[in-house]
Amino acid sequence: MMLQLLKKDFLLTGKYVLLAAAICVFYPVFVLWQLEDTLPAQAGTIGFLLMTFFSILFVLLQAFQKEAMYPKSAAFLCALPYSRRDLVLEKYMFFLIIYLGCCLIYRCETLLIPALGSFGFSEASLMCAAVSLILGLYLPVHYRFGYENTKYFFLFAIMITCFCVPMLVKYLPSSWLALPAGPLFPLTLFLTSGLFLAVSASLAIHFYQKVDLT
Amino acid sequence: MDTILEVQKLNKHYKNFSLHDVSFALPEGCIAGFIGVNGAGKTTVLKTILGLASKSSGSIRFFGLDMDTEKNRIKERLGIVLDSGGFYDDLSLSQMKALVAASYSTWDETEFQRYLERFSLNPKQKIRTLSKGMRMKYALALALSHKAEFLIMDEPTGGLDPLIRRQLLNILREYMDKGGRGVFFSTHITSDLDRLADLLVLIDHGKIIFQENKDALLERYKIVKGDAGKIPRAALPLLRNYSATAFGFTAITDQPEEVQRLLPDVILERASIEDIMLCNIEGGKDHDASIA
Repeated sequence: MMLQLLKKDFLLTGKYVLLAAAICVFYPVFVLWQLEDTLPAQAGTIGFLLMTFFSILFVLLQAFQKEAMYPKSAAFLCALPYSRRDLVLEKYMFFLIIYLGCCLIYRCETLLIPALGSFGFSEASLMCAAVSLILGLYLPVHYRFGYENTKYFFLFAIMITCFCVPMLVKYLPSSWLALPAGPLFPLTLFLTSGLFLAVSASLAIHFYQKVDLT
Repeated sequence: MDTILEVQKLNKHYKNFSLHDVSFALPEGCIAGFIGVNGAGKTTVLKTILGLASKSSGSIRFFGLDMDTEKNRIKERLGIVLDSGGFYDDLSLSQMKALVAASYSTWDETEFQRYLERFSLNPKQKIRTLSKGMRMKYALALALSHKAEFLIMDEPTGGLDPLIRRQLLNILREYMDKGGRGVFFSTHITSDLDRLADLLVLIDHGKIIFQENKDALLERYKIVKGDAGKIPRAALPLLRNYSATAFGFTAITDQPEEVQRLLPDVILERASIEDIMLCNIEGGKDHDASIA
Protein backbone atom coordinates (compact mmCIF):
# COMPACT_ATOMS: atom_id res chain seq x y z
CA MET A 1 0.00 0.00 0.00
CA MET A 2 2.68 2.46 1.03
CA LEU A 3 4.66 1.75 -2.13
CA GLN A 4 1.71 2.68 -4.34
CA LEU A 5 1.17 5.91 -2.39
CA LEU A 6 4.84 6.77 -2.86
CA LYS A 7 4.64 5.90 -6.54
CA LYS A 8 1.62 8.16 -6.85
CA ASP A 9 3.55 11.12 -5.42
CA PHE A 10 6.50 10.48 -7.70
CA LEU A 11 4.17 10.30 -10.70
CA LEU A 12 2.38 13.51 -9.74
CA THR A 13 5.56 15.46 -9.07
CA GLY A 14 7.74 13.67 -11.65
CA LYS A 15 8.92 16.69 -13.61
CA TYR A 16 9.55 18.69 -10.43
CA VAL A 17 11.59 15.84 -8.96
CA LEU A 18 13.67 15.80 -12.14
CA LEU A 19 14.11 19.56 -11.95
CA ALA A 20 15.14 19.27 -8.31
CA ALA A 21 17.62 16.54 -9.31
CA ALA A 22 19.07 18.87 -11.96
CA ILE A 23 19.45 21.60 -9.34
CA CYS A 24 21.17 19.08 -7.08
CA VAL A 25 23.70 18.42 -9.82
CA PHE A 26 24.45 22.03 -10.72
CA TYR A 27 23.98 23.97 -7.49
CA PRO A 28 27.03 22.66 -5.57
CA VAL A 29 29.17 23.46 -8.60
CA PHE A 30 27.69 26.96 -8.64
CA VAL A 31 28.40 27.48 -4.93
CA LEU A 32 31.94 26.13 -5.38
CA TRP A 33 32.47 28.64 -8.17
CA GLN A 34 31.15 31.45 -5.93
CA LEU A 35 33.13 30.53 -2.82
CA GLU A 36 36.28 28.87 -4.15
CA ASP A 37 38.42 31.93 -3.36
CA THR A 38 37.16 32.44 0.19
CA LEU A 39 35.95 29.05 1.47
CA PRO A 40 37.17 26.34 -0.88
CA ALA A 41 36.98 23.63 1.80
CA GLN A 42 33.40 24.29 2.82
CA ALA A 43 31.99 25.35 -0.55
CA GLY A 44 30.86 21.88 -1.57
CA THR A 45 29.24 21.13 1.76
CA ILE A 46 27.41 24.44 1.77
CA GLY A 47 26.23 23.76 -1.77
CA PHE A 48 25.03 20.33 -0.75
CA LEU A 49 23.17 21.63 2.28
CA LEU A 50 21.50 24.36 0.28
CA MET A 51 20.59 22.22 -2.69
CA THR A 52 19.02 19.55 -0.51
CA PHE A 53 17.14 22.14 1.49
CA PHE A 54 15.94 23.82 -1.68
CA SER A 55 15.05 20.57 -3.46
CA ILE A 56 12.99 19.24 -0.57
CA LEU A 57 11.09 22.47 -0.10
CA PHE A 58 10.52 22.72 -3.83
CA VAL A 59 9.21 19.17 -4.21
CA LEU A 60 7.26 19.49 -0.96
CA LEU A 61 5.40 22.52 -2.22
CA GLN A 62 4.71 20.91 -5.58
CA ALA A 63 3.44 17.72 -3.95
CA PHE A 64 1.04 19.61 -1.72
CA GLN A 65 0.03 21.88 -4.58
CA LYS A 66 -0.95 18.77 -6.56
CA GLU A 67 -2.92 17.46 -3.59
CA ALA A 68 -4.64 20.85 -3.33
CA MET A 69 -5.52 20.66 -7.04
CA TYR A 70 -7.44 17.45 -6.37
CA PRO A 71 -8.99 17.93 -2.94
CA LYS A 72 -11.47 15.10 -3.47
CA SER A 73 -8.70 12.60 -4.10
CA ALA A 74 -7.63 12.49 -0.46
CA ALA A 75 -11.27 11.86 0.47
CA PHE A 76 -11.46 9.10 -2.13
CA LEU A 77 -8.31 7.41 -0.84
CA CYS A 78 -9.57 7.62 2.73
CA ALA A 79 -12.87 6.05 1.65
CA LEU A 80 -10.80 3.09 0.38
CA PRO A 81 -8.98 0.89 2.88
CA TYR A 82 -6.17 3.47 3.11
CA SER A 83 -6.06 5.12 6.52
CA ARG A 84 -5.24 8.75 7.14
CA ARG A 85 -2.19 7.49 9.04
CA ASP A 86 -0.96 5.82 5.83
CA LEU A 87 -1.37 9.06 3.89
CA VAL A 88 0.55 11.14 6.44
CA LEU A 89 3.39 8.64 6.95
CA GLU A 90 3.77 8.28 3.20
CA LYS A 91 4.48 12.01 2.92
CA TYR A 92 7.27 11.76 5.50
CA MET A 93 8.73 8.79 3.64
CA PHE A 94 8.45 10.57 0.32
CA PHE A 95 10.51 13.51 1.52
CA LEU A 96 13.06 11.29 3.23
CA ILE A 97 13.52 9.52 -0.11
CA ILE A 98 14.12 12.91 -1.77
CA TYR A 99 16.71 13.58 0.91
CA LEU A 100 18.41 10.24 0.28
CA GLY A 101 18.36 11.00 -3.45
CA CYS A 102 20.11 14.31 -2.81
CA CYS A 103 22.75 12.53 -0.70
CA LEU A 104 23.32 10.00 -3.47
CA ILE A 105 23.65 12.68 -6.15
CA TYR A 106 26.09 14.67 -4.06
CA ARG A 107 28.12 11.58 -3.21
CA CYS A 108 28.49 10.88 -6.93
CA GLU A 109 29.43 14.50 -7.54
CA THR A 110 32.17 14.46 -4.91
CA LEU A 111 33.64 11.44 -6.63
CA LEU A 112 33.57 13.16 -10.02
CA ILE A 113 34.60 16.64 -8.81
CA PRO A 114 37.13 16.25 -5.93
CA ALA A 115 37.20 20.04 -5.44
CA LEU A 116 33.75 19.77 -3.88
CA GLY A 117 35.36 18.10 -0.90
CA SER A 118 34.42 14.95 0.90
CA PHE A 119 31.00 13.63 1.70
CA GLY A 120 30.51 11.49 4.76
CA PHE A 121 28.16 10.79 7.62
CA SER A 122 28.82 14.18 9.22
CA GLU A 123 27.54 16.10 6.20
CA ALA A 124 24.66 13.67 5.70
CA SER A 125 23.64 13.86 9.36
CA LEU A 126 23.77 17.64 9.33
CA MET A 127 21.48 17.70 6.34
CA CYS A 128 19.26 15.07 7.89
CA ALA A 129 18.84 17.32 10.92
CA ALA A 130 18.03 20.32 8.74
CA VAL A 131 15.52 18.34 6.64
CA SER A 132 13.93 16.86 9.77
CA LEU A 133 13.59 20.32 11.20
CA ILE A 134 11.86 21.62 8.06
CA LEU A 135 9.56 18.64 7.65
CA GLY A 136 9.00 18.16 11.35
CA LEU A 137 7.78 21.72 11.69
CA TYR A 138 5.98 22.11 8.39
CA LEU A 139 4.01 18.87 8.02
CA PRO A 140 1.99 19.10 11.28
CA VAL A 141 1.29 22.76 10.54
CA HIS A 142 0.23 21.82 7.01
CA TYR A 143 -2.13 19.08 8.22
CA ARG A 144 -3.56 21.43 10.84
CA PHE A 145 -4.08 24.54 8.69
CA GLY A 146 -4.02 23.25 5.10
CA TYR A 147 -1.94 24.07 2.06
CA GLU A 148 -3.57 27.41 1.24
CA ASN A 149 -2.75 28.89 4.64
CA THR A 150 0.85 27.71 4.76
CA LYS A 151 2.24 27.88 1.23
CA TYR A 152 3.51 31.47 1.23
CA PHE A 153 5.60 31.08 4.35
CA PHE A 154 7.59 28.25 2.77
CA LEU A 155 7.95 29.95 -0.58
CA PHE A 156 9.46 32.83 1.37
CA ALA A 157 11.75 30.39 3.21
CA ILE A 158 13.03 29.01 -0.10
CA MET A 159 13.82 32.46 -1.46
CA ILE A 160 15.57 33.66 1.69
CA THR A 161 17.63 30.52 2.14
CA CYS A 162 18.80 30.08 -1.41
CA PHE A 163 19.91 33.60 -2.04
CA CYS A 164 20.96 34.92 1.35
CA VAL A 165 22.76 31.99 3.00
CA PRO A 166 25.67 31.72 0.51
CA MET A 167 26.28 35.46 0.94
CA LEU A 168 26.15 35.24 4.73
CA VAL A 169 28.44 32.23 4.81
CA LYS A 170 30.98 34.14 2.76
CA TYR A 171 31.53 36.47 5.72
CA LEU A 172 31.47 33.91 8.57
CA PRO A 173 34.77 32.70 10.13
CA SER A 174 35.63 29.40 8.50
CA SER A 175 36.21 27.74 11.90
CA TRP A 176 32.47 28.12 12.58
CA LEU A 177 31.68 25.97 9.61
CA ALA A 178 33.91 23.01 10.46
CA LEU A 179 32.01 19.88 11.52
CA PRO A 180 33.08 18.08 14.74
CA ALA A 181 35.07 14.93 14.10
CA GLY A 182 34.16 11.44 15.33
CA PRO A 183 31.12 9.17 14.98
CA LEU A 184 29.25 10.58 17.97
CA PHE A 185 28.20 13.80 16.25
CA PRO A 186 26.47 12.24 13.19
CA LEU A 187 24.96 9.46 15.30
CA THR A 188 23.47 11.98 17.73
CA LEU A 189 22.12 14.06 14.88
CA PHE A 190 20.54 11.04 13.14
CA LEU A 191 18.91 9.85 16.37
CA THR A 192 17.65 13.30 17.32
CA SER A 193 16.29 13.79 13.80
CA GLY A 194 14.51 10.44 13.89
CA LEU A 195 12.97 11.23 17.26
CA PHE A 196 11.89 14.67 16.14
CA LEU A 197 10.28 13.23 12.99
CA ALA A 198 8.47 10.56 15.00
CA VAL A 199 6.96 13.19 17.30
CA SER A 200 6.12 15.37 14.32
CA ALA A 201 4.44 12.47 12.46
CA SER A 202 2.34 11.65 15.53
CA LEU A 203 1.18 15.24 15.70
CA ALA A 204 0.48 15.39 11.96
CA ILE A 205 -1.59 12.16 12.14
CA HIS A 206 -3.45 13.53 15.16
CA PHE A 207 -4.33 16.73 13.28
CA TYR A 208 -5.25 14.95 10.04
CA GLN A 209 -7.59 12.55 11.84
CA LYS A 210 -9.71 15.54 12.84
CA VAL A 211 -9.91 17.13 9.39
CA ASP A 212 -13.22 16.90 7.52
CA LEU A 213 -12.24 15.84 4.02
CA THR A 214 -14.08 17.65 1.22
CA MET B 1 -33.09 -10.09 5.60
CA ASP B 2 -29.88 -8.68 7.13
CA THR B 3 -29.28 -4.99 7.54
CA ILE B 4 -26.33 -3.73 5.52
CA LEU B 5 -26.26 -0.18 6.85
CA GLU B 6 -27.73 1.15 10.04
CA VAL B 7 -27.39 4.80 10.99
CA GLN B 8 -28.73 5.91 14.34
CA LYS B 9 -29.13 9.43 15.68
CA LEU B 10 -26.28 10.79 13.61
CA ASN B 11 -25.51 14.41 14.38
CA LYS B 12 -22.96 16.63 12.72
CA HIS B 13 -22.65 20.36 13.22
CA TYR B 14 -21.11 22.95 10.93
CA LYS B 15 -21.33 26.70 11.32
CA ASN B 16 -24.22 27.09 8.89
CA PHE B 17 -25.55 23.56 8.59
CA SER B 18 -26.28 20.56 10.80
CA LEU B 19 -27.42 17.00 10.52
CA HIS B 20 -30.09 16.37 13.13
CA ASP B 21 -30.60 12.86 14.52
CA VAL B 22 -30.26 11.21 11.12
CA SER B 23 -31.48 7.61 11.40
CA PHE B 24 -32.20 5.05 8.72
CA ALA B 25 -31.49 1.41 7.96
CA LEU B 26 -30.93 -0.30 4.62
CA PRO B 27 -31.60 -4.02 4.22
CA GLU B 28 -29.51 -6.37 2.10
CA GLY B 29 -30.70 -6.88 -1.47
CA CYS B 30 -32.12 -3.43 -2.04
CA ILE B 31 -31.19 -0.39 -4.07
CA ALA B 32 -31.81 2.66 -1.94
CA GLY B 33 -32.05 6.14 -3.35
CA PHE B 34 -30.97 8.99 -1.13
CA ILE B 35 -32.88 12.01 -2.32
CA GLY B 36 -33.08 15.67 -1.47
CA VAL B 37 -32.46 19.02 -3.09
CA ASN B 38 -28.96 20.50 -3.37
CA GLY B 39 -27.69 21.41 0.08
CA ALA B 40 -30.14 19.11 1.89
CA GLY B 41 -27.27 17.14 3.46
CA LYS B 42 -26.91 14.09 1.22
CA THR B 43 -23.16 14.41 0.66
CA THR B 44 -22.57 15.31 4.32
CA VAL B 45 -24.37 12.14 5.42
CA LEU B 46 -22.40 10.00 2.95
CA LYS B 47 -19.08 11.54 4.01
CA THR B 48 -19.90 11.14 7.67
CA ILE B 49 -20.91 7.50 7.36
CA LEU B 50 -17.71 6.82 5.40
CA GLY B 51 -15.62 8.46 8.13
CA LEU B 52 -14.46 11.28 5.84
CA ALA B 53 -16.05 13.82 8.14
CA SER B 54 -16.21 13.45 11.89
CA LYS B 55 -19.59 13.06 13.56
CA SER B 56 -20.73 14.93 16.63
CA SER B 57 -22.71 11.92 17.90
CA GLY B 58 -24.56 8.83 16.73
CA SER B 59 -23.68 5.36 15.55
CA ILE B 60 -22.93 3.92 12.11
CA ARG B 61 -22.92 0.18 11.48
CA PHE B 62 -22.14 -1.61 8.24
CA PHE B 63 -22.81 -5.38 8.04
CA GLY B 64 -23.42 -5.25 11.81
CA LEU B 65 -19.90 -3.88 12.41
CA ASP B 66 -19.28 -0.57 14.14
CA MET B 67 -17.62 1.98 11.85
CA ASP B 68 -15.70 3.49 14.79
CA THR B 69 -13.91 0.27 15.66
CA GLU B 70 -13.97 -1.86 12.48
CA LYS B 71 -13.30 0.79 9.84
CA ASN B 72 -10.74 -1.16 7.81
CA ARG B 73 -12.77 -4.39 7.74
CA ILE B 74 -15.80 -2.43 6.61
CA LYS B 75 -14.00 -0.44 3.91
CA GLU B 76 -12.71 -3.65 2.33
CA ARG B 77 -16.34 -4.61 1.67
CA LEU B 78 -17.53 -1.26 0.27
CA GLY B 79 -17.48 0.00 -3.30
CA ILE B 80 -17.17 3.77 -3.48
CA VAL B 81 -18.12 6.15 -6.27
CA LEU B 82 -17.70 9.78 -5.29
CA ASP B 83 -19.12 12.76 -7.11
CA SER B 84 -16.62 13.59 -9.93
CA GLY B 85 -14.56 10.50 -9.10
CA GLY B 86 -11.98 11.86 -6.72
CA PHE B 87 -9.17 10.82 -9.03
CA TYR B 88 -5.80 12.38 -9.73
CA ASP B 89 -6.36 13.64 -13.26
CA ASP B 90 -2.63 13.61 -14.06
CA LEU B 91 -2.46 9.84 -13.65
CA SER B 92 -3.39 7.31 -16.29
CA LEU B 93 -6.21 4.86 -15.76
CA SER B 94 -3.78 2.03 -15.02
CA GLN B 95 -1.75 4.15 -12.59
CA MET B 96 -4.85 5.16 -10.64
CA LYS B 97 -6.04 1.56 -10.74
CA ALA B 98 -2.76 0.38 -9.22
CA LEU B 99 -3.24 2.85 -6.37
CA VAL B 100 -6.80 1.70 -5.72
CA ALA B 101 -6.08 -2.01 -6.19
CA ALA B 102 -3.20 -1.95 -3.68
CA SER B 103 -5.60 -1.00 -0.92
CA TYR B 104 -7.90 -4.03 -1.36
CA SER B 105 -6.94 -7.55 -0.38
CA THR B 106 -9.73 -8.91 -2.61
CA TRP B 107 -8.89 -7.02 -5.82
CA ASP B 108 -9.91 -8.98 -8.92
CA GLU B 109 -7.74 -7.89 -11.85
CA THR B 110 -9.60 -10.11 -14.34
CA GLU B 111 -12.89 -8.49 -13.39
CA PHE B 112 -11.35 -5.03 -13.76
CA GLN B 113 -9.98 -5.85 -17.23
CA ARG B 114 -13.42 -7.16 -18.19
CA TYR B 115 -14.99 -3.85 -17.20
CA LEU B 116 -12.34 -1.85 -19.08
CA GLU B 117 -13.07 -3.86 -22.20
CA ARG B 118 -16.81 -3.55 -21.77
CA PHE B 119 -16.61 0.23 -21.31
CA SER B 120 -13.99 0.64 -24.09
CA LEU B 121 -11.57 2.32 -21.70
CA ASN B 122 -7.91 2.57 -22.61
CA PRO B 123 -5.74 1.93 -19.52
CA LYS B 124 -2.97 4.16 -20.91
CA GLN B 125 -5.28 7.14 -21.24
CA LYS B 126 -4.88 10.03 -18.78
CA ILE B 127 -7.85 10.49 -16.49
CA ARG B 128 -8.08 14.17 -17.38
CA THR B 129 -8.94 13.23 -20.98
CA LEU B 130 -12.01 11.20 -19.98
CA SER B 131 -15.48 12.58 -20.60
CA LYS B 132 -17.85 12.76 -17.64
CA GLY B 133 -19.59 9.57 -18.77
CA MET B 134 -16.32 7.66 -19.24
CA ARG B 135 -15.11 8.90 -15.87
CA MET B 136 -18.24 7.47 -14.24
CA LYS B 137 -17.73 4.14 -16.00
CA TYR B 138 -14.13 4.06 -14.82
CA ALA B 139 -15.24 4.85 -11.26
CA LEU B 140 -17.71 1.97 -11.46
CA ALA B 141 -15.05 -0.38 -12.81
CA LEU B 142 -12.86 0.46 -9.80
CA ALA B 143 -15.73 0.13 -7.35
CA LEU B 144 -16.93 -3.21 -8.69
CA SER B 145 -13.61 -5.03 -9.11
CA HIS B 146 -12.99 -6.08 -5.53
CA LYS B 147 -16.15 -8.06 -4.77
CA ALA B 148 -17.78 -5.15 -2.96
CA GLU B 149 -20.88 -6.13 -1.03
CA PHE B 150 -22.28 -2.64 -0.72
CA LEU B 151 -21.95 0.15 -3.25
CA ILE B 152 -22.13 3.75 -2.08
CA MET B 153 -22.41 6.40 -4.76
CA ASP B 154 -22.63 10.16 -4.46
CA GLU B 155 -24.59 11.76 -7.31
CA PRO B 156 -23.42 9.18 -9.88
CA THR B 157 -25.81 10.29 -12.62
CA GLY B 158 -25.28 14.05 -12.32
CA GLY B 159 -24.29 15.59 -15.66
CA LEU B 160 -24.56 12.33 -17.60
CA ASP B 161 -26.49 11.99 -20.83
CA PRO B 162 -29.57 9.72 -20.85
CA LEU B 163 -27.81 6.88 -22.68
CA ILE B 164 -24.95 6.65 -20.18
CA ARG B 165 -27.39 6.99 -17.29
CA ARG B 166 -29.37 4.06 -18.67
CA GLN B 167 -26.15 2.00 -19.02
CA LEU B 168 -25.21 2.84 -15.46
CA LEU B 169 -28.59 1.70 -14.19
CA ASN B 170 -28.24 -1.57 -16.12
CA ILE B 171 -24.85 -2.20 -14.52
CA LEU B 172 -26.33 -1.64 -11.08
CA ARG B 173 -29.10 -4.13 -11.86
CA GLU B 174 -26.50 -6.71 -12.95
CA TYR B 175 -24.55 -6.05 -9.76
CA MET B 176 -27.64 -6.65 -7.64
CA ASP B 177 -28.54 -9.83 -9.55
CA LYS B 178 -25.56 -11.58 -7.97
CA GLY B 179 -27.40 -11.46 -4.63
CA GLY B 180 -26.52 -10.51 -1.05
CA ARG B 181 -25.60 -6.99 -2.01
CA GLY B 182 -26.87 -3.46 -1.69
CA VAL B 183 -26.61 -0.06 -3.32
CA PHE B 184 -27.07 3.33 -1.71
CA PHE B 185 -26.92 6.28 -4.02
CA SER B 186 -27.63 9.92 -3.58
CA THR B 187 -29.18 11.89 -6.38
CA HIS B 188 -31.39 14.83 -7.12
CA ILE B 189 -32.28 13.35 -10.52
CA THR B 190 -35.25 11.39 -9.27
CA SER B 191 -36.24 9.94 -12.65
CA ASP B 192 -33.36 7.45 -12.28
CA LEU B 193 -34.94 6.17 -9.08
CA ASP B 194 -38.31 5.66 -10.77
CA ARG B 195 -36.65 2.91 -12.79
CA LEU B 196 -34.29 1.43 -10.26
CA ALA B 197 -34.80 2.08 -6.56
CA ASP B 198 -36.54 -0.23 -4.11
CA LEU B 199 -36.30 2.11 -1.17
CA LEU B 200 -36.19 5.88 -0.82
CA VAL B 201 -34.68 7.99 1.92
CA LEU B 202 -35.54 11.69 1.76
CA ILE B 203 -33.45 14.28 3.54
CA ASP B 204 -34.19 17.97 3.88
CA HIS B 205 -32.31 20.60 5.89
CA GLY B 206 -30.24 17.86 7.54
CA LYS B 207 -33.24 15.85 8.74
CA ILE B 208 -34.58 12.57 7.43
CA ILE B 209 -38.13 13.18 6.24
CA PHE B 210 -38.97 9.59 5.39
CA GLN B 211 -37.52 6.18 4.60
CA GLU B 212 -40.01 4.16 2.63
CA ASN B 213 -40.52 1.51 0.02
CA LYS B 214 -40.74 3.22 -3.37
CA ASP B 215 -43.76 1.27 -4.61
CA ALA B 216 -45.69 1.98 -1.41
CA LEU B 217 -44.92 5.68 -1.78
CA LEU B 218 -46.02 5.73 -5.41
CA GLU B 219 -49.18 3.88 -4.42
CA ARG B 220 -49.99 6.37 -1.68
CA TYR B 221 -49.22 9.67 -3.39
CA LYS B 222 -51.40 10.79 -6.31
CA ILE B 223 -51.55 13.86 -8.51
CA VAL B 224 -54.98 15.46 -8.28
CA LYS B 225 -56.41 17.41 -11.23
CA GLY B 226 -59.79 19.12 -11.35
CA ASP B 227 -61.85 22.27 -11.45
CA ALA B 228 -60.44 24.92 -9.10
CA GLY B 229 -63.86 26.39 -8.33
CA LYS B 230 -65.26 23.20 -6.84
CA ILE B 231 -62.88 22.47 -3.94
CA PRO B 232 -64.66 22.24 -0.57
CA ARG B 233 -62.82 23.68 2.43
CA ALA B 234 -62.46 20.23 4.03
CA ALA B 235 -60.37 19.04 1.09
CA LEU B 236 -57.82 21.87 1.25
CA PRO B 237 -55.52 20.35 3.92
CA LEU B 238 -55.27 17.21 1.78
CA LEU B 239 -53.90 19.03 -1.26
CA ARG B 240 -50.23 19.90 -1.41
CA ASN B 241 -48.19 21.71 -4.06
CA TYR B 242 -51.42 23.28 -5.24
CA SER B 243 -51.30 25.29 -8.45
CA ALA B 244 -54.28 26.67 -10.37
CA THR B 245 -54.74 27.98 -13.91
CA ALA B 246 -57.78 29.12 -15.90
CA PHE B 247 -58.31 25.48 -16.87
CA GLY B 248 -58.26 23.94 -13.41
CA PHE B 249 -55.95 23.00 -10.54
CA THR B 250 -53.19 20.48 -9.96
CA ALA B 251 -52.06 19.27 -6.55
CA ILE B 252 -50.61 16.19 -4.88
CA THR B 253 -52.11 14.19 -2.04
CA ASP B 254 -51.14 11.27 0.18
CA GLN B 255 -54.79 10.52 0.94
CA PRO B 256 -56.25 9.74 -2.49
CA GLU B 257 -59.31 7.86 -1.19
CA GLU B 258 -60.35 10.77 1.01
CA VAL B 259 -59.77 13.25 -1.82
CA GLN B 260 -61.80 11.07 -4.19
CA ARG B 261 -64.62 10.96 -1.63
CA LEU B 262 -64.64 14.75 -1.14
CA LEU B 263 -63.97 15.57 -4.80
CA PRO B 264 -65.60 12.83 -6.88
CA ASP B 265 -65.03 14.72 -10.16
CA VAL B 266 -61.24 15.06 -9.89
CA ILE B 267 -58.78 12.90 -11.81
CA LEU B 268 -56.12 11.03 -9.83
CA GLU B 269 -52.87 10.25 -11.62
CA ARG B 270 -49.66 8.49 -10.72
CA ALA B 271 -47.19 10.84 -8.98
CA SER B 272 -43.48 10.85 -9.77
CA ILE B 273 -40.76 10.63 -7.11
CA GLU B 274 -39.95 14.25 -7.86
CA ASP B 275 -43.55 15.25 -7.05
CA ILE B 276 -43.39 13.29 -3.80
CA MET B 277 -40.03 14.79 -2.88
CA LEU B 278 -41.14 18.36 -3.56
CA CYS B 279 -44.34 18.07 -1.55
CA ASN B 280 -42.38 16.81 1.46
CA ILE B 281 -39.64 19.41 1.62
CA GLU B 282 -39.91 22.86 3.06
CA GLY B 283 -40.05 24.80 -0.22
CA GLY B 284 -42.70 22.46 -1.63
CA LYS B 285 -45.00 22.81 1.36
CA ASP B 286 -45.27 26.56 0.70
CA HIS B 287 -47.62 25.80 -2.15
CA ASP B 288 -50.28 23.96 -0.19
CA ALA B 289 -53.85 24.76 -1.27
CA SER B 290 -55.24 27.84 0.40
CA ILE B 291 -58.20 28.97 -1.69
CA ALA B 292 -61.74 27.69 -1.84
